[in-house]
Amino acid sequence: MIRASRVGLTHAAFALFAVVLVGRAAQVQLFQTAVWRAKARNQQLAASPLPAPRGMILDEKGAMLVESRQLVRLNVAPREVLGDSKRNPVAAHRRLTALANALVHAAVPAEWVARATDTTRAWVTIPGRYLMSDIAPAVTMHGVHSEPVLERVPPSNDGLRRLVGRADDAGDPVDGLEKALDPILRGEAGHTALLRDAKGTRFDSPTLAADDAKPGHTVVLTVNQTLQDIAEKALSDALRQTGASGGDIVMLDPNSGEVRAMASRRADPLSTSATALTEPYEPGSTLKPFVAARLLDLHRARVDEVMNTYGGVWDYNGRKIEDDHKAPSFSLADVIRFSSNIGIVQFAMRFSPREQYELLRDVGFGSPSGLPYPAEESGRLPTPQRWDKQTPASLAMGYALNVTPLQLANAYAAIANGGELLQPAIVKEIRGVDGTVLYHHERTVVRRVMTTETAQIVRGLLRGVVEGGTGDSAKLATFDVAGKTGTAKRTEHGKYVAGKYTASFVGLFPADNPQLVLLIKLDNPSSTIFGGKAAAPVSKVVLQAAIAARDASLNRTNLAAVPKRVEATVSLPDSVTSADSLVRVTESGSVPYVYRLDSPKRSSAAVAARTIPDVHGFAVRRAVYALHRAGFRVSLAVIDGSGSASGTAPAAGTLAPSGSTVRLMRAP
Amino acid sequence: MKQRLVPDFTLLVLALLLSIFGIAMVYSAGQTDVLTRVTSLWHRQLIWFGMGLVAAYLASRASVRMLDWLTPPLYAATCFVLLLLVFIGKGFGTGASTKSWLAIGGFRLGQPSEIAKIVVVLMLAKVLAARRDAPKSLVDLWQPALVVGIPWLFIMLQPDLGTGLVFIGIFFAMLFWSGCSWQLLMLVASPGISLVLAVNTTIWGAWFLLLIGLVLWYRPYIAEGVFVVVANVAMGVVAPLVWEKLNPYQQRRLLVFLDPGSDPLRSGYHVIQSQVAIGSGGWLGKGFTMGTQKRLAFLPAQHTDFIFPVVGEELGFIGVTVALVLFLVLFLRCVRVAGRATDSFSSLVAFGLVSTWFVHVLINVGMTLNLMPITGIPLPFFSYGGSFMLACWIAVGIEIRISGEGRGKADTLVI
Repeated sequence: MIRASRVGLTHAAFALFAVVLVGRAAQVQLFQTAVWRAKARNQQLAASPLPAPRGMILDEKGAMLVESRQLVRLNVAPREVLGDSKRNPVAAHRRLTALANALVHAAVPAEWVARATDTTRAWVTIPGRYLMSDIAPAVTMHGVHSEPVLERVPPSNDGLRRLVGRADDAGDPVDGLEKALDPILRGEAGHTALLRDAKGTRFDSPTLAADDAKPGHTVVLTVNQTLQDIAEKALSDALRQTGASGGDIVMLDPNSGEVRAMASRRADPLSTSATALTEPYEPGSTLKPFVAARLLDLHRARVDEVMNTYGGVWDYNGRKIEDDHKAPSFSLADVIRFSSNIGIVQFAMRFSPREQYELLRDVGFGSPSGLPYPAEESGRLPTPQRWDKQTPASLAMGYALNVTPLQLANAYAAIANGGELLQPAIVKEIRGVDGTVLYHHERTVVRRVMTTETAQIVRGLLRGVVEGGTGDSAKLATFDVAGKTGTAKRTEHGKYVAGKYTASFVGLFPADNPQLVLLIKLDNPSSTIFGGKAAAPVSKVVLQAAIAARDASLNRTNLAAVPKRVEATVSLPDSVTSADSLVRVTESGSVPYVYRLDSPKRSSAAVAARTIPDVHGFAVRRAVYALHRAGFRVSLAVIDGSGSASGTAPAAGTLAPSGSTVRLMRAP
Repeated sequence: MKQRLVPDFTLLVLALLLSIFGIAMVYSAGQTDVLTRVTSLWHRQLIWFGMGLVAAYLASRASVRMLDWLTPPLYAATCFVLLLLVFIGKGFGTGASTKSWLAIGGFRLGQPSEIAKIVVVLMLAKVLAARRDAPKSLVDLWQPALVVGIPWLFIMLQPDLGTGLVFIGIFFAMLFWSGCSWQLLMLVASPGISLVLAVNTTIWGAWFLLLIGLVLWYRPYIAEGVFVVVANVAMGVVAPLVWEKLNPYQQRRLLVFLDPGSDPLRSGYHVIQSQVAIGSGGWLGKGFTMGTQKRLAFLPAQHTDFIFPVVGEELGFIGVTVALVLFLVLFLRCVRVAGRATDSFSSLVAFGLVSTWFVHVLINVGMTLNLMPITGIPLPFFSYGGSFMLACWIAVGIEIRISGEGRGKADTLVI
C-alpha cells in the first residue's frame, strides 16, 4: 500500500527543506551579521555626543583668561516619568508633580513645564541651557535625560578677546589663538549611551558604557593679565585724551621674547582681530635707531659725528625734507635724540641699497614673526630692485615700508637684550589635563642683529631721547627709561593725507638691563600729532602702573640694581625751535650727548629713589652692609650686632630716596 | 484482553524537548525593557503545556479504531463550529483582523481552527483509507476535495489565509501519501500554479505549454483534460481580477515579500525587524533573554508568529540549527511511524499530522528568514497559544498511539 519510494521521497523533501532553512539562516546570521548588527545598533542606540570641554587659557601667572563652562540641556520622557501608572497611580502622579516643581524652580518657562509633564508625549527637549546647580533635582529623576553642553566664556577685556579669538558654542574656533591652537585646545568628544525602543522612548542602558569626553590641553600664555589690564586702561584713556581713532599697545619681555600684553582699540566695530599683529603701518622715526646701530656696527659713523642739517630744511633729489627740531647741525646722537630727518637720511646714504635692505630684513621686517595667530601680517618691505631714487631716504625715515607693532617691538627687543633678535612667543606652556607640561617656551635666538657694544650705545642714545629729547614726557622719576618717538604721516588709498598722523613711542624699561619693551601707537590723534606728546605720556602712565602693581612680571632685584642716574636731569623746553643755544660744541668739534645744565627746578628730582633690599633673615651685620650698599643709612632698633634681621621700616621692596635712613628690626 | 502500550519514547522526548525549548523562548519573549503583557504569558503557556500532556495521554489511550469511529461526528461538529465562527468569531491579538476566536460571554475559549487541522486530517485519512486503491482521476478526488474544501471555505471566510494554506498543504501531502501519482497531483495543483504564474505572461505561457504536454502524457479522461486546461486558462486570466479582490494588506504582504525595502516602516517592518534580530545574533547569539531587538520592542509578535527570531537573536546560528534539527528528527520519526502503521487509516493520520507540523515550520521559519510571504502561522511547540499547544500535544498522543500499534519495535532511533 505505502510504497517505500514515498518514504524516501518524504525524507528527501524534509532534508532538502531543512538544508534550505539552515542555509538561509547561515547566510543571514553568519555572512550578513555585520549588516544586520549595524541596522540593530542604528535603531536601538540613541547615543548623543558628549562635547569635550576646550582647554583653559591661562595668563603667565596662572590666572584664568578663557574657560569652558558646562551647562545642561534637558530632555524629558514624560511616559517614562509616569512609569507604571496603572499599578501605582498615586506615586506616578507624585513623580510628575515633583518634576514640574523642579522645572519651575529652575525657571523653565511654564509652557515647557506643561509639555514636559504631558504624558501623551514620548520625548520633550526643553530649549535653552541650564546650570547644573539650578537643575540638579530634576536631573536625577527617572525619565529625565540631561545632556551636557559647553559654553566658552571669552576673556573679559577687549585686547585679549582680539588675541585669543572666539570659539562658538559647538566648540569650533572662529579666529585668533582659538583657531591657531585648536588642535591643542580641542578635546576628544565622547558620547552617552542611551537605548531607544520601537516607540522612540530612550533610557539609560545598564550594559553600555558611556565614553567620557577628554578635555583639551591647558594653554598658558605669556601674557600677564595685570600688564594687559594696565595697557587696556592706558590705551582707552589715551584715545579719549588725544582723540585718536584707534591704537595699539604691545609689551614684551626683551630677554625671552615673550609677549606680556597686547591691547588694541579700533573705532570700527567690525575690527575684531589683534591689530598689533594684523595691521602693519609706516613706523616713521621709530626706525632711525636701527640705521644708527648698523652704521655703528659697520664703523661707518661715530656717535659724536656731526652732520650738517641745513637749519632744518633740506632739498634732496628734488624733495623737501624738514626737521621739527631745526638746527644747523646734529651729531648722530642728536639726530636720534631730536629725530632729525635730514640727519638720518644723510647718514643712511652711507649704505648701499643692499645693505639698507638687509638691515631692515635682519631686524625682522617683511616676514611674519611666527606667533601662532591665524591672520598675522608680514608687513611690506620692498626689495632693492623695486626701489626708486627716493626709497633709501624714505626708508631711513621709516616710510615706504609697513611693519606690524609686534615686529617693531620685537626689533627693539634686540636693542634691549644686547643685540639678539628673538623669536617672539605668546604661548608659554602647554599642559595636559593631569598637569604634565607638554611644551614649554624656550628662548630662541633668530639671529644677532648688532653687537652687544652697539646695542649698549644705542640704548644710551635712546635714553637721551627720553632724558631731554623728543620722548621727554615718557620720563619717570624713579627709573631711567630709553625710547624713541615716531610721528608718521598716514596714507589713505595709497596717498599721504595732510593732517593725519600715526603717533608712536617705543620704550625700553629700565634703560639699563631692560625688562620691558613697550610700544604705543595711536592712530590719528587730534589733540597733538607728535609721538612725543601723544604716545610718550602713555608709556609713562603704563610704566608707573606696572611698577606699582604687585605681579607685573618685573624683576625687582634687577630693578633695584639700576636706579635712576642722578646727573640725568637735563630737559629741553618743548618750545625750542633752534638747538643752537643748547648745544655747546666742544673744542674737538663733537657734541657731547649728555648735557649738564643747571636746572634748579629739577634739583629735587636729583635724588634717585631706590628700592629697599629684602634683608629678612640676614645676620644683622650683613643686613647693615646690604642696606649701605643699596645707598641707605641704617638705624638699628637695638644697639647690638648679634642676631638676625627680621625686617625693615619702610618695608623691603618699597622705594625710598637714596641716602634716607632705614630702620632695621632685629628678630627677638 | 488487555494490551500493554509501549510509548514511543524517542518521539515523546523530542516533543518534550521542543516544548521546553519553546516555553523557555516564550519566557524570554516576555523579558523586555518596555512594559508588555507578554511578561507573564509563560505561566499560562506552562499550564497549557500541562493540559496538552494530559490530552496527549488521553489521546494515546484511545485506540485507532475508536478514533476511526469518532471521526465523522468530530468532523461534523468542527464544520459546524467553523461555520459559527464566520458569524460570531472574534478577532484577538496577532489575529485581530480574523474572526478565528471562539468566545462565549466575553471569555475566549480558543481557536477551533487549530483542532480543526487534526480533525480534517482524521476525516481525510478515513475517506482515503476507505478506497481500495489510490485515486487515479480527478473524479476520484471529489470526496477528499470536499472533506478539505468545506472547512477550508469557512476558514477563508474568517479570513485566515495562513490556516487555509495549511489545509491545502495537508490535502496534497495526504494525497501523496495515499499513493496518488505525481502527474495527477500536478494536474490538481495546476490551476493554483497558473494563478501564481499569471503575474508574468511569458512564464505563464511556458507553464501552459508544459501543462498541455503533461495532459497529453498522462491521458486523463477527455472531459477532465479539457477541464484542467480550461481551469488553467481561467486562472491565468482571472488572476489579475483576483489580485484586485485581495485586501490591501494582503496585496502589501505579497509585494513586501517580493521587495521588503518597498515599505520599510509598515508592511516591510516585520520582515526587516525579523531579519535584524536573526542576523544580529551571529554564531552564538546575544545570550538567553538578552536579545536587544526583542527587549526594545522592535520585534513584533515576538511571543507568537515571530518567536523564531528570538531564538536566532539570543541563541544565534547554533540555537537555530538545534531547533531545526529537533524538528527534522521529530518529523523523520513520525514518517517512520506512518511507514510502520498497520493499516492505511493509521498511516495516513500519522503522515497527515506530521505534514501539518512541517507546513507550519516551513512557512513560519521561511517567513522570518524572508523566504516566504508573511502569513500569520505559528511555530509548533514554540509560539504562545493555548489551542495550538493543546492541538500539537493531541497530535503527539495520536502519533504515540499509532506508533504503539505499529509493527516492530517503536523505541529505536533507527529512521
